[in-house]
Amino acid sequence: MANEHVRWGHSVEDARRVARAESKLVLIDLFSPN
Amino acid sequence: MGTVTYPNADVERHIRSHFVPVQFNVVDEPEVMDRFNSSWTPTLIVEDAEGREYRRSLGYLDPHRFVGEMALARLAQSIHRRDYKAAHERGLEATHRTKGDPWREPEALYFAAVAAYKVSSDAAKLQEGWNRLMDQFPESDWAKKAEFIRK
Repeated sequence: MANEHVRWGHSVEDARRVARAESKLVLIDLFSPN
Repeated sequence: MGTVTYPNADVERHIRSHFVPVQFNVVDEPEVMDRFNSSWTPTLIVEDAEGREYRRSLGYLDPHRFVGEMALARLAQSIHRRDYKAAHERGLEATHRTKGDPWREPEALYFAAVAAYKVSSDAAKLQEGWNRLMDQFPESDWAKKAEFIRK
């Protein structure tokens, strides 16, 4: 389930843009809610 | 993951410092399973900004194992980029972060030794690191991959 502690995005393309700008990696989480 | 791992302060800090997190609910968006070639949840994938995949994990990870996975992903990226100074630092971090995890610590020791060798061009560093791996985890797959160095 989604949580309030980590600010999850929902677009890999947007995440890649941020990762490029901030020299970070993209973490993708595929989850199924309980 | 959402109730134990992600609320963990160390996990949250680690993600914020090094990653841009993206989450998909596969019930709402079942097509993402094909898109990311996954067969089970939770699936965690670490990629760079160009979409190169460095790490993939299926199934639940507690906070310790999660941070170990992320440390190994960062180490893999720096080795791939041939940034051996960063790889050396990340190798030390991965070794620290995977301490006590019998699945991931051997892998961290293996690649930490690779990074130490590459940054120094001193083959003795590889021998030293892999000897440590073989001494501590002789039955691990990573020790078996390193044992040729003793022959």
